[in-house]
Amino acid sequence: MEQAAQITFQTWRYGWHIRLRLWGRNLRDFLAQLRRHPLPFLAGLIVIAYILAALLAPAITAHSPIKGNLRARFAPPAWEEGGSLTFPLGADDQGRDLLTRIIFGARVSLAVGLWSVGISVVVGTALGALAGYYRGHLDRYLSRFADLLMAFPFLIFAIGVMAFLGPGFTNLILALTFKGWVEFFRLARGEMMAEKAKEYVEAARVAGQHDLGIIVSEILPNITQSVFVLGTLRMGFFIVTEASLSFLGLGIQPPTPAWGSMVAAGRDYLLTAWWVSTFPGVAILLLVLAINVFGEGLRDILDPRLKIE
Amino acid sequence: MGIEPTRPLIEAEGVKKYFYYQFPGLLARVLAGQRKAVVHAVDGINLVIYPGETLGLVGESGCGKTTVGRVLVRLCAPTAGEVRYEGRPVADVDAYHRSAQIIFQNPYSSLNPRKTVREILAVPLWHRGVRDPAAREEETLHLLRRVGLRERHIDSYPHQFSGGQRQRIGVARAIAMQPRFIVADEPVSSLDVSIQAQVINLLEELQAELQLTYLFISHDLSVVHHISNRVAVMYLGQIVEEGPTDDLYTNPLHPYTQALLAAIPHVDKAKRRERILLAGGVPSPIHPPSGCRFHPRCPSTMGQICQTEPPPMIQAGAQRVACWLHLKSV
Amino acid sequence: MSDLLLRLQNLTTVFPTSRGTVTAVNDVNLTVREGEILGIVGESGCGKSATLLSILRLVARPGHITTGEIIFRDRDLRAASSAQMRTVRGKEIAMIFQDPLSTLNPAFPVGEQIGESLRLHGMLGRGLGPFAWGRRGRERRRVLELMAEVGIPSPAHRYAAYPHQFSGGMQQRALIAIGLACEPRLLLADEPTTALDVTIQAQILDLMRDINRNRGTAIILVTHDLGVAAEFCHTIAVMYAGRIVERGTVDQVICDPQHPYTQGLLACRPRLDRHEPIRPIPGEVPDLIDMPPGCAFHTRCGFARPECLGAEIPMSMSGDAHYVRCIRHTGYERHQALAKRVGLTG
Repeated sequence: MEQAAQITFQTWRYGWHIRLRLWGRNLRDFLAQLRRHPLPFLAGLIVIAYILAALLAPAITAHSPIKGNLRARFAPPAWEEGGSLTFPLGADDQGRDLLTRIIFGARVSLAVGLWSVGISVVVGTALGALAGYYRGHLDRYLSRFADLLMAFPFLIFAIGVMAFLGPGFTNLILALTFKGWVEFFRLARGEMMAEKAKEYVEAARVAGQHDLGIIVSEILPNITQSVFVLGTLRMGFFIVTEASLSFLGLGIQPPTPAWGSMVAAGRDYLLTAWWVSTFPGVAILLLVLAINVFGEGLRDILDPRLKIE
Repeated sequence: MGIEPTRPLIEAEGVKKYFYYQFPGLLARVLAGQRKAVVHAVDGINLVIYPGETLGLVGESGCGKTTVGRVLVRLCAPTAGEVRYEGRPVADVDAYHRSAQIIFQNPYSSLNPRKTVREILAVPLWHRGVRDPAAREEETLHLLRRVGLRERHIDSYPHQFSGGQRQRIGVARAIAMQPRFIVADEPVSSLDVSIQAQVINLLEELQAELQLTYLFISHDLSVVHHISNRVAVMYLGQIVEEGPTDDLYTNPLHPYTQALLAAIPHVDKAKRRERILLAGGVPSPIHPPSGCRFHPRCPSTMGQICQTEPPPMIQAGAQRVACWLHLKSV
Repeated sequence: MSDLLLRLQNLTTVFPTSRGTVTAVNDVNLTVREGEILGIVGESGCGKSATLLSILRLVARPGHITTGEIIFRDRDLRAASSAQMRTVRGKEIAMIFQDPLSTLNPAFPVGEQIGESLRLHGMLGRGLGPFAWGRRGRERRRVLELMAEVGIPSPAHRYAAYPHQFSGGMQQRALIAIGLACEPRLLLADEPTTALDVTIQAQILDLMRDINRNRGTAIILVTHDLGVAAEFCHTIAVMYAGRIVERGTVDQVICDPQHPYTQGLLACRPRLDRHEPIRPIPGEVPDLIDMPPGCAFHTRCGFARPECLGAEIPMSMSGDAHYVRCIRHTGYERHQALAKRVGLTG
């Protein structure tokens, strides 16, 4: 293992300017490709907009997302009669500005999405790579366990876990990751088995590489692309699941703004103050749609190039 | 061809390599009547390779020649038998890999697509002991020049090269460890004819310059004839004939060798031999025939003895042949 | 002299790519007579497979045929409609491919796949539903006949077997059976033996030779192996980078090659009678994208000179029905060579 790390580090340190140039070249090619697919490009911009909004939330909002002004209860959106630009998208049942809450809600959703996908990817890929490489009992038991988990529908399972653990940010991540790693496990395992059969792995072994070194420095770089694409595609799903759990009251608890619970809170007022549920819902829709479109575009861009190469 | 038989460099004695294939389901297992299927990929071979020579290993698909190559390089351990290097059994596989390397067949899957040439060659160089990055760069450039690639290719990815160039990178990787013995597993079979000639010439130059010993595995009999000093013919996991190249090609003793040589399509009408058509196809290595494995397809089978007793290796002049037909000639 | 079966006239097929246009088939002229075996020899990327696909108009989009005529039995196939082409494919011109495992459908028994061709082209008599009685039986009988003809042992047992249960040679025979089912006049074979062992290759080539002799089927055999072409074909066309560079009878091309590429191909094979160094052709096949006019081989040619580039070099005659595309055989040079051959000093 230290051999692989040493080689990688040394090559990295020595040729960093070359690597930078290569990365730069790859990035430039990628961006050029992306420009040719306008829809994913637009979707990517939307996702970046969300991320920026989430990061800069305190700076770009004028109101507090938690403290409400009861006098402004159910203020309508700016273009409706009775509305004003103080509350561009209206106010909810506690007089809190909807736009501010939505922007702060983005923080929650993106954080949950990134954390849960991140942990799922790391755990799933690591276990999948090991199972696919070593096979044998490790593979058998892990695969059976993964199959077992797959038997449960995701949402029901997550509800069960949350009911058991109680609400909260960490528990939410736990619930999503508990079942989320399985897909990445399967993907990494399959790719690992396919790559292991290729001769460059044997060549590395003859050149003196040991198992762990081969897994990390030879095979993993070939797997990361598919894992990354899958992660992007699944992120939308995780965000929707988080919203569903929050809607049911099992996720992020109020007063922390979470889109799902915001939709739930506005349920009773759909006919009168429709904006309380609608705009958070639109926020979820737009983000998830953008992530999915971008993810699929990513897959389309990367896949054929993989084949040509 | 003028190589004196000094002490052998590589010896394989009684080497067997079986692969165990587990039937996928209970029903399949019951129907087959056994828990596992045993693929007798290599079933008892004896080989000797002398320093500086090229031993050609020919046979058709499924005969086990690729497995022999991998066992001789100790990419996999033999199920039975022994591989000896310079007279001593191979104990430390890592140390053995400083002396024995392999060139693979497929130029597309034998190079890591995510690594540049520099990174691909860094691995064997590091294990050879070239730790200093500057020295490694120097060595890498030297290797590239030696195999006929431009220096500017050092930072290119495999997909930017043609098949012939990729094979050259494979050759560079093999000689990076400065080995004495190289197994060339069908190194030119995937290349165009005009590029094959280039790579064959490169291998020959390197052999002369670096005093290499080759095991050249191929199904292309013309190429094997050109590059090898001695040739061994394999069928269904066993060596059926072995001898100096010219002797074997002008006077093949085993009926399988005769059929192989007769099947080569020749440009020159005068060279074409009478076709010997073999009945049927190659049997499965899971259930090889009893006795002489070739007997179901042999045009000169002698009946009872060929079906029951596997023939021993019989020395006939400079050639060895495993065939009952030649017992009398001893 | 037998009749002209197929004539390709100035056939050009291009593939537009994001980096430029690849002219896979560049101004190809070929003729095939009834019962003739034509070999197209060349290395990977030279356009030989694309030529076969162009004949049957099976070129995958966005590739398309830009110019030329494909005259099959006095009909221009380029002008034919899709429906007409469908009657030609499989029935009058059949094609077999290199890798049988990917050409045979793994989900259907082999016998059914051979019969599919018969069914599609109505070779078993008309009638649907109740009027189709006996057709299944007729189909099975015909398929068994075909399987026996191509040398598949115990056809009755093998009829219901799946492709993966066949060996490589057997699969290729099944493919040939599919090709022959409707008794085509022309068989296009795209490297049918490249994936097979040399002994099986010999068997398959013998089979195809028998088919040619007994049924009179013309064959176009695409291969990279000059030995196979020399043993098997009547005429040979050598292709390089999309163009035919030499064409003639097998004796002319093999024993008296005129084009430097053909000479190079013959010289770079190791000889089985002598140990002498092989002379490889230096360099690599050029990038086919947006190729400049002139000779594509000049980067690797020992006789190259400035006139080789710049203008398209036409095919010139170098003997009776022996054509070469080389500047040394045009005009002044040729006169010199001819004069030398005839005995006058030059």
